[in-house]
Amino acid sequence: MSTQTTPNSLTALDPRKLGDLHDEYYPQVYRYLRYRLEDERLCEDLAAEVFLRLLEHLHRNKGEITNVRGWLLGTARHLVQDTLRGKYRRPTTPLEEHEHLSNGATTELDLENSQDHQRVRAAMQKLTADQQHVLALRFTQELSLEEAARIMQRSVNAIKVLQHRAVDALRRHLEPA
Amino acid sequence: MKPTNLSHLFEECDLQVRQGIPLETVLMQHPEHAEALRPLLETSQLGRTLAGGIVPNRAAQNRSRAQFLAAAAEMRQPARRTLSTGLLRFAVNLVMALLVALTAFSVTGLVSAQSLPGDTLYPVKRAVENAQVALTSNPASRLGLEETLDDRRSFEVQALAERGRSNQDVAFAGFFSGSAADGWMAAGVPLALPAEIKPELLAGSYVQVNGRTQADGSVAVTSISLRLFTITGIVEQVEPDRWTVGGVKVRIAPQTMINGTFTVGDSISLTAIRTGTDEFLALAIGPRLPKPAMDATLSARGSLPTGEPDDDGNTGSDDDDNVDGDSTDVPGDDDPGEDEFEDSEPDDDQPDDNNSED
Repeated sequence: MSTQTTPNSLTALDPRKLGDLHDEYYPQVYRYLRYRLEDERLCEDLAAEVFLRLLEHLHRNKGEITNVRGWLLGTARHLVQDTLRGKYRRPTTPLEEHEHLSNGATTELDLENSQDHQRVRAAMQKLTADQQHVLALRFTQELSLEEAARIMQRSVNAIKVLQHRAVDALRRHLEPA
Repeated sequence: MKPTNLSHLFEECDLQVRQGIPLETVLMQHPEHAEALRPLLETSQLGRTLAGGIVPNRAAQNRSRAQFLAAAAEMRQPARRTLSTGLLRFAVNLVMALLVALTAFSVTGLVSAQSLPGDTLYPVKRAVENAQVALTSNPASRLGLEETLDDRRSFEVQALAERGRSNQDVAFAGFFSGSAADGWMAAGVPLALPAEIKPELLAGSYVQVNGRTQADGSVAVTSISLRLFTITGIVEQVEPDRWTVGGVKVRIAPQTMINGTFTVGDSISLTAIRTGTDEFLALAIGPRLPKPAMDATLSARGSLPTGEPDDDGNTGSDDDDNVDGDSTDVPGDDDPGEDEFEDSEPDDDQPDDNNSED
């Protein structure tokens, strides 16, 4: 399936097309969410919610979606922002609780990656919303500058600068205090 | 160097690193900016490495898919009902209501509900039942209803025997059981089998029987075949040897013909045989059909090794013999949704109905 989809082929809510769309974009949406949020289950719920919102949008048929991935990632971003607003004061869980690994094995490298992930995520959350968004788009989606610019509705140059500042800010927050 | 220029340079170097050029090699190309670029590039690498380790849970993805497609199916439903189909359904309901009223409040109606094959009002009783089946779209409910009607058919045959009404054409379904010594039965009804039928091959099968009542209370079998069930619905769960479709668990054998690739959330039709009280074995699986296939296709699948083909189709295509009505269609090859998404130039569309702003 193309990453760009005309609305007419979706508004009919054809199950095969919708199934293809979900198969293609779910991993991307989930990766975006998971990069920005710590809670795996929450990310799964939010990913499902993103697709249900797409469905509602298509059903209402209000306006066209010609960049489906952009729409989905934009919606994911809004959901992340909503979640972060609601969770700012929630105490963070201890690192030890996140050292489990999906394959059941615990190696030193996995543990190190897990700890790195926690550090990066913690540092990410200190960035501005736009900085987090651009890094999640570039890191998890392998988007080109042009694609990121299109999704964020900015110029390519603006994205370059934003990305540079975001990486620099992330670096500073990752440095030992 | 101006920050903007450094941003361009960072992007250029980051791209080279992503393309596999070693970091040191990249930095050597810009020795005057190496000190500023190195931490940025290392941070970027760290960010990408960790992002690469994120893999969605397959079960969660399947759940989301099923939820997504079920919601879509629900949304499609009202749109599908055109005025004509709405009127048709109304008319069917009206007829149903009249039939039910007739059945409930008139003496003849009461007789119809209790009528047996050969009675004048028996076709009315069957018409009401067929309408009930046709109006039941949920696969699990439909199977339950068909099971009830199967039981009713066998009770009718037993009632005919108790009343000594022989030479009456009957059709019913049930599990085939018995032995050569004790005799063979289907749904508890004794059977007189033609010599060409090998009953041992049928033992334990859920079969459709067509035949004629005899004075001794048995049924002289004219045809017997595996009873086929069609289950149409959304795939809810896929395991290697078992799928759940519309709430019905169906066993998948290596011989099951799966016509296409299906995952959770797909809308399918499958033909199955019954292998136990609540067990079904899929014979063929295909995309959901817009309308039932020909019964002739079925009878070829459903015929048992009786030694000769059944000219009547023997899966109940005759009105009086039809236990399962339209439930014997087989999934076919046609796919109503072959056309793909059209490509288009991307634009700047953004979500416009979300409930928050940054």
